[in-house]
Amino acid sequence: MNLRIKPLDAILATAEKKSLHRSLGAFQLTMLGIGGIIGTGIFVLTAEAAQKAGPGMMISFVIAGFVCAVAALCYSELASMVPVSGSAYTYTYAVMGELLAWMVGWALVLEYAVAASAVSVGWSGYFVGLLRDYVGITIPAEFANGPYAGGIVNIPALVIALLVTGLLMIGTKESARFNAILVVIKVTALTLFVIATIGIIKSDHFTPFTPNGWGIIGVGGAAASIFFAYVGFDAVSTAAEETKNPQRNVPIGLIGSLVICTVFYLLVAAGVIGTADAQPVRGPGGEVLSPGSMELASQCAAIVKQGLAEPVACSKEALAYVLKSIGWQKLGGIIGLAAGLALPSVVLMMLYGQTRVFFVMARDGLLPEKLASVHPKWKTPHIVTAITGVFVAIAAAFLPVGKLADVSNSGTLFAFTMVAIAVLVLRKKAPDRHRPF
Amino acid sequence: MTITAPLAVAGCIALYLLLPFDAKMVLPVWGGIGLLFYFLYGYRKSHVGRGLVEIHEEDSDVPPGPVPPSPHF
Repeated sequence: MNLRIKPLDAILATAEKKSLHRSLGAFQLTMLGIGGIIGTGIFVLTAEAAQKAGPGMMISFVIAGFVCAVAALCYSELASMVPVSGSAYTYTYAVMGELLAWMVGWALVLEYAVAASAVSVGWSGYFVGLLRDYVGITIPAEFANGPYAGGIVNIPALVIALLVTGLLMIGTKESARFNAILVVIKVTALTLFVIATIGIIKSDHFTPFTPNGWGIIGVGGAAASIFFAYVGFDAVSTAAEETKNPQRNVPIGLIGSLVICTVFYLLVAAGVIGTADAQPVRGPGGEVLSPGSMELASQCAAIVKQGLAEPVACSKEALAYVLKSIGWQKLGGIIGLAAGLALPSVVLMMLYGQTRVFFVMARDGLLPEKLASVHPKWKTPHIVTAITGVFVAIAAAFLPVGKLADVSNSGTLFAFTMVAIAVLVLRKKAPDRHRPF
Repeated sequence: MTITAPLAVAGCIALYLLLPFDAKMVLPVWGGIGLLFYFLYGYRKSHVGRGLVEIHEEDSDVPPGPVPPSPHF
């Protein structure tokens, strides 16, 4: 079978023709990375990780961060050789041919769309908490959770997904200043959390450290889920062509943002474990319950009914809940507000990523080009945005956040693997090609 | 930097295998649908397959990428 490859040099030539203003430095790239990374992962999936690994989730954070760091180095190598605003799809097309590129693009569509659903559900948890505590409106559990979490339909998640889709269709653009504010909000929220908890950490909360062992429901499985908390750093490599001295600054931005986030996550995890009950919830017979299952939801409901304190693994707004449970009511509200403000922009970013990949694949002839046609007035690919948005909203309405994050991770891991293999292939095939990084 | 790529491949495969069964199964099913679509549609319509070398990543109407936060207020 002849391999259909898009020549690297043609991609390079296009990139050179379009001489963008190179203005970004290492600091801005690191900010971009942090802005892309911090999202639903740390704000919501901490509960998921606690249910799988208990205090051992700290090791899970390190494992997931490490895998992302080596993947990020592969992205650096490719982004410095092929400085176009491409994705794993572009790189694969140029190195391993059309079939694999298609599979990567297809997996990226899954990754971005399902991630948008996951973040919508994550946002819903915090939004419901905000409404309950500060507006006095309690959304009945039936309409604030999907069927797996003991409800019928997650209305807030459905609404936010459709709202963001609508904004994208009429051509909402991200603003550099607004994004800077959001990064500050997220970093401040996590910093406040760490400051509030770090002084009262109790060491006995850390035993047993790995109550479920190291397997799929254990430290390893928690790492595979919490991996979601690191995805988004590839935003840095897409900005490679606008970067001053990209060979130096892109790796700094990628690794810098990953290291900063890992340190933050470890401190936050330590705060959660040390001040609240982060041990996994067990069934009536002491059996291990998997997160996002109906058994867990009903066990959590039973614990609350008995009037006992809710374990972290049950909470839909883990960080806000931890602060409130140790008496920091106001601060818990502020963290909730920060998540409520910041997460919709993450949904926006995911949907943007999805339409971008879809759009380029359609222009390459692999998907019907009509789907990616641009609206005459809005100047947006409104058809693909609308189709995606409906699917994202349906998934957000009925599936639990952890399951969605896991599915998104499977797509991401596939794309990362392909990028790493592309690096290996290129080293073999074109050992003399200029590798600035 | 020789070691990064093999480590990334091994790490990603390991994390994939540690995902719960249902999440693990979504990828092959989704991929199967993708393969079917490729051989029914993309394979024939592909511009590269028709000998056209085009780069669309830089088209002016492609949805924009993430906007770097600017610290200038």
